[in-house]
Amino acid sequence: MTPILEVVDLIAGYGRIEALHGIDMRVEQGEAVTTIGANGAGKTTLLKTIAGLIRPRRGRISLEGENVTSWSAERRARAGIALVPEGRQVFPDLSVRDNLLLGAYGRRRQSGITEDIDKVVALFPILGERGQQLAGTLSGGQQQMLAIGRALMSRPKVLLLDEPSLGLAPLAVREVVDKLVALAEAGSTLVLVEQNAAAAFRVAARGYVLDRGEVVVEGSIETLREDPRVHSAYLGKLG
Amino acid sequence: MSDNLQFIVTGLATGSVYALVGLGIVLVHQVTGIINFAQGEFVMVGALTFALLNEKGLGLVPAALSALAITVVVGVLVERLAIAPARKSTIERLIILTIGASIAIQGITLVVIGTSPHFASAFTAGAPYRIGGVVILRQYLWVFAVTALAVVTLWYFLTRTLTGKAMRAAAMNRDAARLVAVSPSRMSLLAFVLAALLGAIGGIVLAPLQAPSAGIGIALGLKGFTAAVLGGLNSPTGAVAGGLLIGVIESVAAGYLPSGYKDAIAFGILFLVLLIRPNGLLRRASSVRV
Repeated sequence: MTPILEVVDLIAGYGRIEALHGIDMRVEQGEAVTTIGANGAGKTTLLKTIAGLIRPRRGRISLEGENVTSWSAERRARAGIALVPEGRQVFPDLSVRDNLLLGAYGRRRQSGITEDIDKVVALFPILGERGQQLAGTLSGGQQQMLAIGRALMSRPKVLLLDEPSLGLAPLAVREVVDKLVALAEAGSTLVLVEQNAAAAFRVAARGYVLDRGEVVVEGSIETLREDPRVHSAYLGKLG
Repeated sequence: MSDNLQFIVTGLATGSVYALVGLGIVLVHQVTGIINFAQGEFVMVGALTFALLNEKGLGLVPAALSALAITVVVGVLVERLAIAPARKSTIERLIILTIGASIAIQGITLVVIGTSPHFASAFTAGAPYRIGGVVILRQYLWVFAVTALAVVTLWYFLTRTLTGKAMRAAAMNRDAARLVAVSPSRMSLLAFVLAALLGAIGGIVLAPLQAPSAGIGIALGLKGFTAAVLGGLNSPTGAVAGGLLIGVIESVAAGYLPSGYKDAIAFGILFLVLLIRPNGLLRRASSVRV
């Protein structure tokens, strides 16, 4: 079967610095995959390159078998790749509702948008209560939920999440992770990048460990959990 | 006293045009980060086209629509030929490019139309209104009404339509906008189209008051820039208030000083504001960020 998302031998970076040295990755329909790794491992670069914000130097990115490597970020967004960027990046001076509406900006038909807002609000009730509030006035956890809701409004084929737990209070982390578990159980295709391996393992069924721009371990969550490198580096400190 | 009132009314009329120019500058600045020094040339092109066609006997509405259309074409050409190809270079370089575009527009106009001013008739003929000792030209009322309509329409577009919200989103966060399929490049083009429209509208209402010639763009652009800076460069309401204020100050001062000082007054204000309050008079007006 053709995977939803396929990354082949991806090399990318910033200026002269190469951050990814040949990444291979496959994500099947309905699968929740995680990529864990330390700071500077290349996780954000990987997601930004898949979303089209960074042009790769080499390699191929395919969406449902179609080569999208040369497409702009806007075109990829319309085609069904949605990225919840690092640091949330909601539109601060627009209302919560307007942020959600803009999530659907790339949809060819603008029908069904009210229903989709209702679905997002059912998942994140706080976004309904705060609909008219400016997004910049929300708490960090609420902004994270808004960023996820905004991405869902495009009805993505694959949802990429860049460290959604970063900078959130422990309670907010648990809430966001619970919602991601619910999305995964409902059959959404997810790629979750995290430093917080414990959180990532709750959501995903399979994962990749990234270290200095290369995949060092890959496999099911059980495999990753038992891998000594993963254990000492990412889980050890959590006891 | 009625002298002063008269100066204020006259100043509000020219100030309305500065306000429209300032609004165009704020819009482009918010969406692209560029200060568009060709904004005054949009006013010139709109005013001159309108006056020229009006002289040739074309009616008010067709002349105005043609002036709008031609100015929009000029705006699109500036964006696509000067700004878009250099999009990846520094903001400073892009600003210099707008100065180059401004000189080019003026030069082409001089070659095509010449240096002489052209005359447009007032929108409605008739004697001016007199209230107390104050003379209000009928054209002033047109200036006020059209400016108010343009400002309200722009506000509606930016805050109530999906495209307007997308434009503001692109101004707030370029990458996040791209992630929701909003193209910053298209929004930049749209900002220039709207700026050209605002400029042309200002030019069309101004033409019956001051016969336009190819050289009027620079002073208008700089006064509009002063208006925008007075408002803090990111506030549409600030730019409108700034434009009206400059118009009034200029007009009152010109009543007491030799008329040759008229332009010096606006540029004196610009100098002072940039020196003392570069963030604008009202630090953060509670207004819509574009």
